[in-house]
Amino acid sequence: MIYRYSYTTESSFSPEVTWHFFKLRAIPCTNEFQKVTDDCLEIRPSCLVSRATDGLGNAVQWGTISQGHSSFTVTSEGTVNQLLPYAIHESPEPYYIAPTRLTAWNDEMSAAALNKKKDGSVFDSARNIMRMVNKHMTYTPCLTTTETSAIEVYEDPRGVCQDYAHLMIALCRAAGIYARYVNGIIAGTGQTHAWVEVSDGNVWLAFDPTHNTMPEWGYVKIAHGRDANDCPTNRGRFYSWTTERQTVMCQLSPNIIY
Amino acid sequence: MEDLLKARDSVNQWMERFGVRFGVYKNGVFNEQLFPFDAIPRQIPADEWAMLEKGLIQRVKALNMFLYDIYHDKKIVADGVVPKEFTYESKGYMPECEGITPTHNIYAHIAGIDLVQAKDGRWLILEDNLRIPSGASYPMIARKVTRKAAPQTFRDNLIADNRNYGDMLREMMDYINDGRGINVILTPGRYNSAFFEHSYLAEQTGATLAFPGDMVVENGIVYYVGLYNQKERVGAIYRRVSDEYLDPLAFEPSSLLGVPNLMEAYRAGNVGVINALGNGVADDKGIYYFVPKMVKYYLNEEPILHNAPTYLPFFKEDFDYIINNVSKLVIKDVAEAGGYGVMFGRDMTPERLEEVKQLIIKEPRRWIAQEVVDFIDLDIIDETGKPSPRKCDLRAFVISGKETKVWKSGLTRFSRNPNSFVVNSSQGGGFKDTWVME
Repeated sequence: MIYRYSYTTESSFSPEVTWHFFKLRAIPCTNEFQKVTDDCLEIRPSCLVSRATDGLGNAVQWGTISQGHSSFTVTSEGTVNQLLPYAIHESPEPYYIAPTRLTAWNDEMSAAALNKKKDGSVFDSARNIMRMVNKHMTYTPCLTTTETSAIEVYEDPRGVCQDYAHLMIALCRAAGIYARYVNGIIAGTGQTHAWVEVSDGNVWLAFDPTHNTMPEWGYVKIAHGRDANDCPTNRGRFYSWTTERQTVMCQLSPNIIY
Repeated sequence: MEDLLKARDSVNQWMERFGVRFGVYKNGVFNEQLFPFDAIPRQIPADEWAMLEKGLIQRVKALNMFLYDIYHDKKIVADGVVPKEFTYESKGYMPECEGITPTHNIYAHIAGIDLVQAKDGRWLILEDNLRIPSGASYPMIARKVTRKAAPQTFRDNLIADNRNYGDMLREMMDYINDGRGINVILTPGRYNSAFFEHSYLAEQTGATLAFPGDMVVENGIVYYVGLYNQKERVGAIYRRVSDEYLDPLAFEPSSLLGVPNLMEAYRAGNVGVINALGNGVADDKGIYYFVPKMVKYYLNEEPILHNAPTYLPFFKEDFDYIINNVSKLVIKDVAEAGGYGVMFGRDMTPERLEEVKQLIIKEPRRWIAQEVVDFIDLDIIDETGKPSPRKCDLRAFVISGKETKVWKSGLTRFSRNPNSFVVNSSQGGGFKDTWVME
């Protein structure tokens, strides 16, 4: 299956800023189930963009704009070819089982998680946990922030995809299961999406607790990390007293070949 | 030494004028206090120092090899010498540092190793500080002032000169710099507890003292932006900002103390960072237990210096011992530093002991237990002008550049109260000069 993706974010500043530093994870990754066949990244105002791989294996694009500007636009577009069902055969790094600030758990959560753990496959347990998270939570935009932790979400079960993912990760890890945070693009939402990958020690499979499903096609992965803090799509820093307004627009559509 | 003791008051006045201060946060309020100096020096005989020097160099070499291994080959974990719970699940481990090779493979350029001398004369390691160990400036300046106040003392005694610390740092910084640009000391600013030291070390090494916002990264290169916006390339940064605040785009996004995208310049090998990032995995109280094993594993040598007897509740055998002997042990929280989270079993009520046991049962990985080491007292001159014994430790500074060297001095700290065992600048108390005899 071939997809066209596009990710656009626009920030406007008033008054204008100088010395703007940015770091993006705005290009889908290439792995055994998906391959980026062409990509185009455009930054306005134009500047030199360096590409590197971060410590977790994600592609990053970063740079500095030193002239004054009142708007900053990132447009990332390209084509992804998804070849296989969503599966990544890699042994998990040990840090995907340890708690982080956003994915720590309390006693109650660990009891709940262990209760959902099955003797059989790790993935059966993960599916149970995903169901529990999906039932427990009510999708509520604009309530939580990027700093909301899994414990907070467990106690006040309202939030967005990031919160669903953090809660599921915390519960998996509490049950001794490797889990990591993924961000990417899915069709139809206009926003970036977050889901979870779970490993049994050999292979990572995807779980989307927001939609209570194990995605196969149509989930284009950008980056992964221990939690959302490890792999933000766009992080910037500037030295000015200014107000920033940001909009994000994503699209994913099956490619129509003429 | 008479003239030195007599000069005590004038020495302390000099230090006050120099601004030898230590900032302490208490109940959220920042207070700068003088760091009281006691004129009676700790003296270490030449043969004893020779043994310490060998042992410290050995230990720091092993720690550097461990850090390289953890962020590259991971052999020590694969070989089962150190469990993953104490490395990859440790708070100090930073996945962002995976695959980064610092200039010349050095991680712990400046190591502050804390030791105590037991009553039987043996030196024991209390902890390793491999992130941003502070305190070298205090004995540096104390020596400078005491030499002025009591010159005769320094003619009569054969004391190793310690005024070369700035040179040692500079030599190491130049080696890490590799000719790429200027040397910079990055300070979080004047509200940091060790700001006095940052500015003093900049002066002593000839490095530029940089504040947050003075450096920018462009095209993968770090620049120091001067007064008139001229840019100078930076080759080595001796940073006194902790890892999580060093790059707001890589770590704590709210940090105002860091240099955005510094991590990318560092990853690309365009700048040396002193000390390397990610060193926390090698210096918390949990990994401490394994350092003698690292010496054997990497150097195939017997450790010259030993740890204080330590037990890890993580291991079944140690766990049983701790639960049965809590009342005579010291229990320490692995995550805490600066003398916080230290509990002496003998000071606890039976109820409290039971609580502590439950804490250990609940989170065995979080605690270590140590035998109370009966370490020697050194005399200080107290407020009444009389000698009075205090518990003292020694922070030795080990510099790893082209070679690994130990500074022939160190920071001897003493506890505030005669009956206190906690020796830490954050907890009050003062310091002494450390004389290495020749």
